[in-house]
Amino acid sequence: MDAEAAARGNGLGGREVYLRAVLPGEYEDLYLRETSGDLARRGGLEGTTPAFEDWLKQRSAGSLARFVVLAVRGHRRLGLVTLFNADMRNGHAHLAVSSFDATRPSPLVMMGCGLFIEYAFSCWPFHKLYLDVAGYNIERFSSGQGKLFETEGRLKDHHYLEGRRWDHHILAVSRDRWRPYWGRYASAVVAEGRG
Amino acid sequence: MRPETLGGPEAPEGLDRFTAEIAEILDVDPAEVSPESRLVDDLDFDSLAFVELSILLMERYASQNFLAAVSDELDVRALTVGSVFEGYAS
Repeated sequence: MDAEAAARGNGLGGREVYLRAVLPGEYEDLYLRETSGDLARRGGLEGTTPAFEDWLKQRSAGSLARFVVLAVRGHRRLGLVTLFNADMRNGHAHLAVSSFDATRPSPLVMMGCGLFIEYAFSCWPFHKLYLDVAGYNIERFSSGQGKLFETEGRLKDHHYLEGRRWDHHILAVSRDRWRPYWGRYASAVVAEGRG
Repeated sequence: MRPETLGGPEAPEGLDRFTAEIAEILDVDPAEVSPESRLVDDLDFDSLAFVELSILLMERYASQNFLAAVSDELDVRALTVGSVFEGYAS
């Protein structure tokens, strides 16, 4: 059974996208994606280029789960979702999502993110997941305000990119908010026979 | 006979309802959405809104191809409410 088939068999499969663990030989490619192109400027590294070993340590530290998002059709890699900085005592963790194509809307990555959030709330007793978003990326998520998440924190002029300062947004997806939201869409997102 | 302008008195059947559904996705007043509204530039459609629209098209209009087209092929900035209706919901 190949890795894609194994992932789908492990309950992380959707109708349009599925999630699978990062393969050992895949890290170099992920490093190159994060340190080049639009993702390098607008992603978590904000234009810096750490050495590969430092990047790998940084990405592994505190990571609870990480999956590549792939399209069912063609098995094309679309993005990456990560759960990190889990605080089991207080019941929260941080979520990160990145799309490998930053030039267009990425609804398939968002579907993968939905599968991942459901996975996180199903596997662990978190009551809330946080998502840190720089102001220059917030338009990718803004329609979810009040439906999928609440903005619980905002740091003014926290980032600098392309000649201007941007706020930093701390979004929170609570379990209570997630359940009805997912309930509306699960049947369309989850592969038949699951959910 | 096809109307020359979408959304007018001779709007295609179902377009008004589709326009209202778009407004519901965005949680805005339906008066703010017209068939000529561009999804990205006028209505600020983001990735989450495209997910909701894709699911609407799949479940209510049995249209399966919009999601893949948005992800891979379409010039999303050129999409209007009316063009999506014509292409995927009518």
